[in-house]
Amino acid sequence: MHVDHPDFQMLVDRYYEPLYRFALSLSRREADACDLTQQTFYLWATKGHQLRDGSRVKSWLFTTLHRAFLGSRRRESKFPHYELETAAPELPAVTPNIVNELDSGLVKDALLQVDDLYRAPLMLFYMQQHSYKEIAELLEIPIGTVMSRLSRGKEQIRQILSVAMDGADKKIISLPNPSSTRQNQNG
Amino acid sequence: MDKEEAKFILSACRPGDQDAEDSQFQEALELARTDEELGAWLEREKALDTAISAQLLKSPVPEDLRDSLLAGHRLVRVPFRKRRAGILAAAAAVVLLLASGAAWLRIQQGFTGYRSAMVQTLEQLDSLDMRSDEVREIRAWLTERHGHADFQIPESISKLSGLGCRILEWRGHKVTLICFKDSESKLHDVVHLLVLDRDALPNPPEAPTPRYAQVGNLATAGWSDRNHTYVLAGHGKSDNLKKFF
Repeated sequence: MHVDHPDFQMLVDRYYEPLYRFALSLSRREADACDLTQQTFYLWATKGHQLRDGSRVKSWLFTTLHRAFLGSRRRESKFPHYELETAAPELPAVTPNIVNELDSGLVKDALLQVDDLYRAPLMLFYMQQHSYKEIAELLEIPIGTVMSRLSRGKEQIRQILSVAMDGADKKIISLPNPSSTRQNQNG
Repeated sequence: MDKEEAKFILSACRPGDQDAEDSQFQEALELARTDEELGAWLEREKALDTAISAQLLKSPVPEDLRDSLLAGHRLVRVPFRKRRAGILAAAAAVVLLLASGAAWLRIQQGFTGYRSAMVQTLEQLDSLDMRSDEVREIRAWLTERHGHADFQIPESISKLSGLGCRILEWRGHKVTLICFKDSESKLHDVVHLLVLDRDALPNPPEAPTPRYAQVGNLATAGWSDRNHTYVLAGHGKSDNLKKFF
């Protein structure tokens, strides 16, 4: 006789999007993010019954996904990132109105260029579903470390957005002016 | 507590009211109420966090993900005392899981998966193997290296200046990337053409009408001819690509 998990669809509907976005912030790859999300719900389907306190489902799901990511993390290929100047007074200030007018993909890309250490707590913070205490528990780091990483992560993403707004890096491939002379470059 | 300490603590305070009653933030929030400069900083911080949060929550989620999750996880949790009677049910659930896993794999191996993988590759690409503004030079280079030198493109694309090319790989299949400069577009002036052998895909898009889709930051158009499947990709919306067809 089939016995469906009583709340499985409800859990999927409630959490699959934030879990996917969190997974994407960790892995930076859509396919890997899908795999991590799928793996998390698979683990819930097979082991979720062991969770006695139903109110901790959210924490369980996000923690499981994070651990799955850590367990499967491979050396990432170089991800193009902005070279941030330590002093760049000419960069435009990032304001809420400007952010609202940006392409959401640009903001997402900016997040994906934040340092690994800061990116996960930053994404969890911006999803607004997790307090700093929950982030600390989920990522298994001290509260003070969460605060420190949020502070520095926010500084980074704002610098990255400021550079992007300045038009310094709108192209996928940053190329010099093409010449009629064929040039070979290493891929 | 001084202002810098308060800012450090308040950086972890969510922009809504969720953390208003958290004891960790009380002293810093009180200081912000009495200190005009700190209060103004907090208002700007919350507004900016709200704006960034809103944009991040708009980022798209793959269309097939929900269905795949629901289809792939109808597993039976069988109590020990019913295990004997539930063996057939467990076997059926495994079959269903394998079937949904196979469906997911087909999605990844088909055109949708290919297009998604190539967009990710484009977003991380930082160099080309060869640079030239002459398409004939690009074709010659590809011929020497067994790339898809015989790619066929609409006339409007053939009139663009080249930028260069690169040979990529997807699931063991060679993919040729040719980049063009769209001088008429001031904002989105690079378009990328990806060429794959048509028989590498179980479900290639059919010509002549391209299949448009927004994938991440890129607008894409996919079509096939007798030998190849093509994906044209560029920044912005699909309307930026429709002018080429």
